[in-house]
Amino acid sequence: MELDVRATHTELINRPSQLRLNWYRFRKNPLTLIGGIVLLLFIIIAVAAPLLTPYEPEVINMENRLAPPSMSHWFGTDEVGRDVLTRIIYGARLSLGMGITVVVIAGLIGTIIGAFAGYMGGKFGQIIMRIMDVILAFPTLVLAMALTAALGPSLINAMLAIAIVKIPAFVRLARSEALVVREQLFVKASKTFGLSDIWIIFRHIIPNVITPVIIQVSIDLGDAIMLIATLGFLGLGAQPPIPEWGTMVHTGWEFFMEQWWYATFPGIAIFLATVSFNLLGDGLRDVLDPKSIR
Amino acid sequence: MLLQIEDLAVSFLSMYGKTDVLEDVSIDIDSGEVIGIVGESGSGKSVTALSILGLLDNNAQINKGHINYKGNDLLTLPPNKLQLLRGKEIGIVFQEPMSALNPTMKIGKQISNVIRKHRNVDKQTGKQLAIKALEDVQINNPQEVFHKYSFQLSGGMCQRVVIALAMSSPPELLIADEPTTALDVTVQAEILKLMKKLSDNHQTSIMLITHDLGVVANTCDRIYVMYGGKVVENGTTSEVLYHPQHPYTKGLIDSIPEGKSKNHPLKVLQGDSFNPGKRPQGCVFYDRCNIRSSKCLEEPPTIEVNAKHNVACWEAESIAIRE
Repeated sequence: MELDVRATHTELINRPSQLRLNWYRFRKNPLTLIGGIVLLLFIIIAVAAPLLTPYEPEVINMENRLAPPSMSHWFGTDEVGRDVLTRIIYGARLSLGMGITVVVIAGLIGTIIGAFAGYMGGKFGQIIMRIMDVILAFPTLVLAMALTAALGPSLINAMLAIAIVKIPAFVRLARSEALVVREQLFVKASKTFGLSDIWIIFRHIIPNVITPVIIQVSIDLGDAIMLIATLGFLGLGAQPPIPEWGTMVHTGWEFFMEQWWYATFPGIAIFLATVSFNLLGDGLRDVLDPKSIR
Repeated sequence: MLLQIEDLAVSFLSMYGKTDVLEDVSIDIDSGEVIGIVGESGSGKSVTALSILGLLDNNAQINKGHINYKGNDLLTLPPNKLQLLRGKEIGIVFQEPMSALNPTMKIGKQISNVIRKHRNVDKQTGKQLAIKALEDVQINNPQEVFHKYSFQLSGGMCQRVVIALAMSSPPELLIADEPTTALDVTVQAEILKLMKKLSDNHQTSIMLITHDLGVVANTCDRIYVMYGGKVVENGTTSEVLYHPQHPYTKGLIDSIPEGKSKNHPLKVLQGDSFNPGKRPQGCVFYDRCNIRSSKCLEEPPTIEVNAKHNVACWEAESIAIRE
């Protein structure tokens, strides 16, 4: 019997693009999709807030205080007659905006510090990492509370405190990746081409460590929203009358026995936003870091 | 003399103590000359190359010697001055072209950035020069390759890009550390021809590090044969390849398969490759040498076979006299 050695597959394999592959991996996981859809709804609600409700979030209407859910006020009203749904919608703006801002800022600063620490190494790297260890030694919430209490309770200070407690995780992540990247030949090669260290860090190290950082950002977003709400609930974050979910739960708490709707609906909003960010973060990790798929 | 390495000795420090990896290495390169450094793995070829650019790892220790480049000793030059030489006057091409390029940056950007660094030109000129550099390394569609990433190119293409990067200044000296080892044989010849041509055009000296004698024979003016961190034989290519004196060089040449009768087993060098942890006393080649004698327990002298040929072997003396 003779072997047939003619080429049977002459056409090139049509490989799907990376984007399609990513979308496929993303879609495959129903939980991720749910997280993504809920989040998309939150974002639409946040952007289109004034169009979605006839009420103003901060206008007091004493005649209509603590009204139960009805056709005109789906989620009821609060102790000064403001529509709870309206305040939740405007709160979405605040929570999502703050959460994203805080985590992106922490991610940026952390990545840059981590890339420097990893690339430079030596004493400089050690000092940076020990400082980060000091911050990491405190529980996140306790440190955030202490910082906001010290700086004075306000939304900006809460953001600042959360950004500070979020930075070390990014530094460690970026550093550990940078330690790997700096040993790669193209980094050494860039040095032989006479390029400066700063240039190498920003153009060679950071682009190659960014993937795990993006995953960490998406996972930390839910946590940051939770933290903002927690600080608000404890009276350390946004101050009334700002429509912030945590602050609303805090005030609504006093009325919880008779007027359940006041604290419940903002609580559900916090829950949904946090969970959907976590689901999305998990999905994103599976897409961007296929090695981690269990 | 463009570059003169004099009695360079380097050790690596590790948890096992100090290991000598280079001993009294002396290498000269003239302007426009192409020299080859041959030897098996662990013979110190790459360490020699990296020490020229000051890129040895932190655990390396330079015990003695000088590397004179245009009147400066590169070993004592402050880091910022050395950084100015890198790329601009001394370029290097590595063994693995794929990993020598950043996978997250387009080829064109990588080249134009290096060009802009060395020539102080604006963005537009940098782009034009980068496309020109890609043309110079015989890439057919430079406009297209300019916008590609390294993983979209073949190994040979990547090596051309790396050569374009190394030649962007163009440098006075190009160190090529096994530039063709990772490539297909047909591509190898092209890359070597390309390097030779670029060196002729720009009067660039090349230090070609390889373990392939065939590569050396076609490309180099002079050869340095290294074994165990020492230069055991050096001379013009024809001298060394046609009249090898050192038993190691002879063994290497005997083990080339081309042009040998197919009916006899190929000669191989007996023994294991050099282990820097177990450096023998006297001649480094002692353990594997087939003509060793009691004399060889002492360090062999460097013997001048003729004006173009030196060898470090006790036995070579008699051969030289016989001739």
